[in-house]
Amino acid sequence: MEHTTVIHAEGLTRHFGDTIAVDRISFDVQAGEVFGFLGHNGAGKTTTIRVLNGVLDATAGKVEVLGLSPNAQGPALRRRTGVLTETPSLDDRLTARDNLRIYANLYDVPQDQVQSRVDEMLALFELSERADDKVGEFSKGMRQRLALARALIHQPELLFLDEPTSGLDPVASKQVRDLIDRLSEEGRTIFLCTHNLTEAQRLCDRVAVLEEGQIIALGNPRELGDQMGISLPLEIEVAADQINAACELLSSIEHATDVRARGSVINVSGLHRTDIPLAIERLVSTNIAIFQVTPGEASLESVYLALHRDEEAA
Amino acid sequence: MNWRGIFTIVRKDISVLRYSPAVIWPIVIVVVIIMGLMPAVFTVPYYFVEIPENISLEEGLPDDLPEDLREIYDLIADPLLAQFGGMSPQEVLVRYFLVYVFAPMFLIVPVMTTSVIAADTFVGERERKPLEALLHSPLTDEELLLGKVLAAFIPGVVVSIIAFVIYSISVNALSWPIIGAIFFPTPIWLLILVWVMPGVAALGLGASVLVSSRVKTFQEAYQVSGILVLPIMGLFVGQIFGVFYFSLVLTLILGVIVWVVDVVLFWIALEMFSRSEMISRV
Ligand SMILES: Nc1ncnc2c1ncn2[C@@H]1O[C@H](COP(=O)(O)OP(=O)(O)O)[C@@H](O)[C@H]1O
Ligand SMILES: [Mg+2]
Repeated sequence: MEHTTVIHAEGLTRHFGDTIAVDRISFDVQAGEVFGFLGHNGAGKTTTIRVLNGVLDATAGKVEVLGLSPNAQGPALRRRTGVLTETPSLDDRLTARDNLRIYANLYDVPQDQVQSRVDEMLALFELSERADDKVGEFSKGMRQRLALARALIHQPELLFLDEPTSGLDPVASKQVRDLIDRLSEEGRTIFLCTHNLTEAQRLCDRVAVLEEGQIIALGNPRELGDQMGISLPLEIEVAADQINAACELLSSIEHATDVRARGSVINVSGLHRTDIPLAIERLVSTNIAIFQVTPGEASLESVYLALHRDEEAA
Repeated sequence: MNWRGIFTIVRKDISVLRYSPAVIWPIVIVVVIIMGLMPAVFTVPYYFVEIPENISLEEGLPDDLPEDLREIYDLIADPLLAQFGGMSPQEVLVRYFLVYVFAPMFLIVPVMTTSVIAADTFVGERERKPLEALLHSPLTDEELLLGKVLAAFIPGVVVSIIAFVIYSISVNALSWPIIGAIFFPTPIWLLILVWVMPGVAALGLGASVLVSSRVKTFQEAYQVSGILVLPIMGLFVGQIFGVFYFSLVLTLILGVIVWVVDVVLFWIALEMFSRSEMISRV
């Protein structure tokens, strides 16, 4: 299984009338990899999933998924893939159990295993107690878990996740992220679309950054961030009487754009991840007592900014 | 063919119908009004009308026929009038309205049932979103279409049969004081039931499937059933003005026409229906 290419896309393009939703993208995804597709709303993520799963025809380009052509061998391909759609796409009028049972049947789970597989999924996603309630009454987080359960009911080799945590509160998001980690540990290949940079960094082996239908960067998310010099906000708590000295020191560090003190907490923005060790070292060497350092989340904007800065420089 | 997948869709779509008041109520109202109430309107008043007993139609309309009755008789197509020879005027009126004039009304039931259900399962489901996951399932486009079509066709035929039974009971019961015999369903109605009705059910369905890819909302799709009722009303009005009547031959021909249109509609639908097209509109 090592280094088997699960997804191969070459010049993949999709137009909707005059809109170019996906513009000549090329990439490969290897078996067992968590591959991130990072981009704002309208970047072309959902369209890409649809084309890869043979649900939407490509306008141009070559695509092969699990060795099959999505366009010509869609049904055979879709038997082996699972999809978490952007909106959970559940039937609100049915119970959680019925929603799962229907898909177990559609995906040809052996008849005598349907019942046990459904129960197993309900338990895994902590929905057993609400199994016989109508989905219309479920919270957003519960729906998302149920939709994930449904995507996994036939134990697919390849999983497409379209913004799995968008709109979820932090607790529900964490639950979903932990589940994705677990699925990845089981060896499934995961194609994860997100507009959340931190999520991509935390979950993905590699990420493609998508803008207006084009891949503008591709690589290991940490390295990519470090190379591009993505800035992230930093929060440092120091001794209250040393606050002015600390601010002065931090302002002198390269990249630091804005240094603000409130009480004993300093907020620094503009720093790159690679600047953090230097900042701490300087504070420590001037004998400033540090109580807490909290890096914030780098925003997707900073990725685009960094990428465009590179473009201009080039 | 993945029959398991197809019947999963059929079972699911039919089982959720009961949660769709926008689908259930129009059907119930049409069945009750057309098949239950209208027969009463065309029988009960005659219980109380004084009509000369001894009218014989064999030599044309008698001179002493009351004026309103003459007007109605004038409307009845001649070959049909000849068949009514020897019957009392009340019986002629009951048979004329309930057996002939109302035959097209019955056809409203299959058209409207299948088109309302299809509007809900094709367009409504897209509006509510669960369609997207279905499109990501392993079913082929043809299997998906067949599942959705059967899920509207089967209830359409079942509801029509129920309407037919209700109509048979109400016609026989309401005309009992006048005719005194169980005379319904007549051979023509049985032919309508087994030959024309399923074709008309398919017609409502085929038309809804075709518009489903062009419209955005359930309401828009629903209005198609309104358009399909027009040709049926044409059959109704045509009989009222004595242009034709539902003879066995006419019923057979009508059925042939309906089925030919069905074949054309479904051929186009099969050509047009693609998940790629459907998902572009999700
Ligand atoms: N069915 C469609 N019809 C017309 N335009 C579409 C359709 N689907 C997507 N688009 C357009 O394609 C672009 C990419 O959309 P999408 O793939 O949904 O992006 P994302 O999932 O990254 O938010 C957007 O500009 C969107 O408006
Ligand atoms: Mg999207």
